Amino acid sequence: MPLWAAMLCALLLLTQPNLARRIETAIAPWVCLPLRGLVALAPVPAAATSAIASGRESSASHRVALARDAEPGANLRSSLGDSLVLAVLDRRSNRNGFLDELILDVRRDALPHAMGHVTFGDSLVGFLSPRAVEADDPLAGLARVELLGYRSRYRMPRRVPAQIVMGDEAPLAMLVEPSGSIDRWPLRCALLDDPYRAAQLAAGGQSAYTSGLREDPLGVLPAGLGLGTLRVFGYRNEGGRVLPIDLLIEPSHDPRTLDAVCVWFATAPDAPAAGTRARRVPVRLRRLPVPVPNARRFLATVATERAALVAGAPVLDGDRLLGVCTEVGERFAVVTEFGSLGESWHLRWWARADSEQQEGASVAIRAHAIARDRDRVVFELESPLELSSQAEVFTCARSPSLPAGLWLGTARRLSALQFELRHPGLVDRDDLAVRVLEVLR
Amino acid sequence: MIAVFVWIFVAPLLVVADGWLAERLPWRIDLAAVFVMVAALELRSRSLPMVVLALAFARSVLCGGGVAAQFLALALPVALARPLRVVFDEHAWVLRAFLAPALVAVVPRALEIFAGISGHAVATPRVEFVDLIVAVVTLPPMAWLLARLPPLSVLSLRRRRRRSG
Repeated sequence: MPLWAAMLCALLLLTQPNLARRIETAIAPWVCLPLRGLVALAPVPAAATSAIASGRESSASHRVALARDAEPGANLRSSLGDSLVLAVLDRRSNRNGFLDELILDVRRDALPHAMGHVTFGDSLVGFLSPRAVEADDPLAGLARVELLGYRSRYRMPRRVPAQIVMGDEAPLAMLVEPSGSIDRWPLRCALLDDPYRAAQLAAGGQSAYTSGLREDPLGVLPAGLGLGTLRVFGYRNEGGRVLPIDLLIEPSHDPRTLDAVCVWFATAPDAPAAGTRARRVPVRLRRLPVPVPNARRFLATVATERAALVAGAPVLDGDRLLGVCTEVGERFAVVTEFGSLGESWHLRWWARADSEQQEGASVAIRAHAIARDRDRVVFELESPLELSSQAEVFTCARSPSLPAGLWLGTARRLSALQFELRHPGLVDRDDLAVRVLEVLR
Repeated sequence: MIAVFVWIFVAPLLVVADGWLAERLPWRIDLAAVFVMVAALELRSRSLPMVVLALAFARSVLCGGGVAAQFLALALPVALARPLRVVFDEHAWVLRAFLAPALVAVVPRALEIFAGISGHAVATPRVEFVDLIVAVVTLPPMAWLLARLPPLSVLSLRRRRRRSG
């Protein structure tokens, strides 16, 4: 009977992943305690060669590529003012699971004269929030970007004056606002200037741009910034024609793939210092045999100083990411090797010299590992993309301690859906470091 | 209570031992299935939730999948196999030999299903026919051994009967 009651509680916990995660985080240090004793008995490994030199060179080039991606084209630049490219540290979702907020690697009080709009390339991403991350958060004080789909409980959503280009006809003006929680796309068109013309939009696919409403009470917003692609939701009649019920907008960029964004100023700003400081904690790594096929776990113990490791922190050899801390405790962490089979990763494909694609072009991809043989990992893309034949592959940030620009290795395309990455993987070593981010106070 | 507390520290070592055996043996001996057999046939009802939870935590930290999914993947076979004690003699080797391959097949599949519900990706070993044959031979003696080693031996029904009888 007690077991059935416990199973009922576990079933309820299945539906509350955040609570389950908190419980796991609290218990993990106790679980890892006997493992520390076990790995202390492991023999000292032979010294391994470091990948620092090659990694650092590639990483610097990658940061240049990232900045170039975030900046808009020359035609928009003159109308927008002066910009700063700022790294994205973290992404936050609302309670419905919609990603609606970005946290930037800069303190909010270091951007007193910033304008509201935040862009990526030629697209509007969202608006710089006047409020910093709250005090009870580990990233307290950093600047927040409210994405276009952001809804506050305390105020009306930010509406963006926009227009849809309709071929030879005059553009259709409207306001774009956050959609409902049941909608498939995060933005909705409202207050159309010509509902009759809007009803003729049987198929979506048109591009939506900011229209730059004069004397906008919510603040000046430049015209011509991309918002996304129109999607029509409605009834389909017998002839296959769609009667629109709702006009939705699919944003130009998936916010999960944004590593950096542009913040704008009326006058040239002084570049603010980063809001965080990266500290490298030297660790000793020992492998733990686990009954999981094709996955390897390691126990990282802090070698020299008293330092707390953070869940999601990367294990680095120079600037090269080898693994990620999954469960952490005082002075130790369980590390999952990068490229574990079946796991999905957001990556950035930075093309090398190639006949098809210009050198330095960078594409955000999502892929999962399907095979690993020593230092060769074969990945499969989650959706087909046009990629160059050779590239350097970097991380796309998804957690506060996994900043973009961490080098993974050199990749070679195998087919339209598969590529091979040269990645050394983890072995028992004493000369690696865990990168822990600290918010500067 | 002390035995349960000790088990919390022993459970991660059982998971590591499971991985160690999986790397070295040509066929798979699933120590999670061994534990489920012991819990279903040998342990007292009152101690079961804590004992299963301790192993679920260890497996969640080291193998992934989430603690709730790991708990359900272990507890459900325990709960389903436990009533067999009413019909059969719980020490009967025939019962254990029939139960062993069923547990080896069910535990990983149950984990896949529950982890899928909670949205965790988890890799589970593929169970081959030879694994089921090996389970028939190896799981009953290993379960017998695990039930007689501390700390689980302290929580066994056999020990309570001996004290009360």
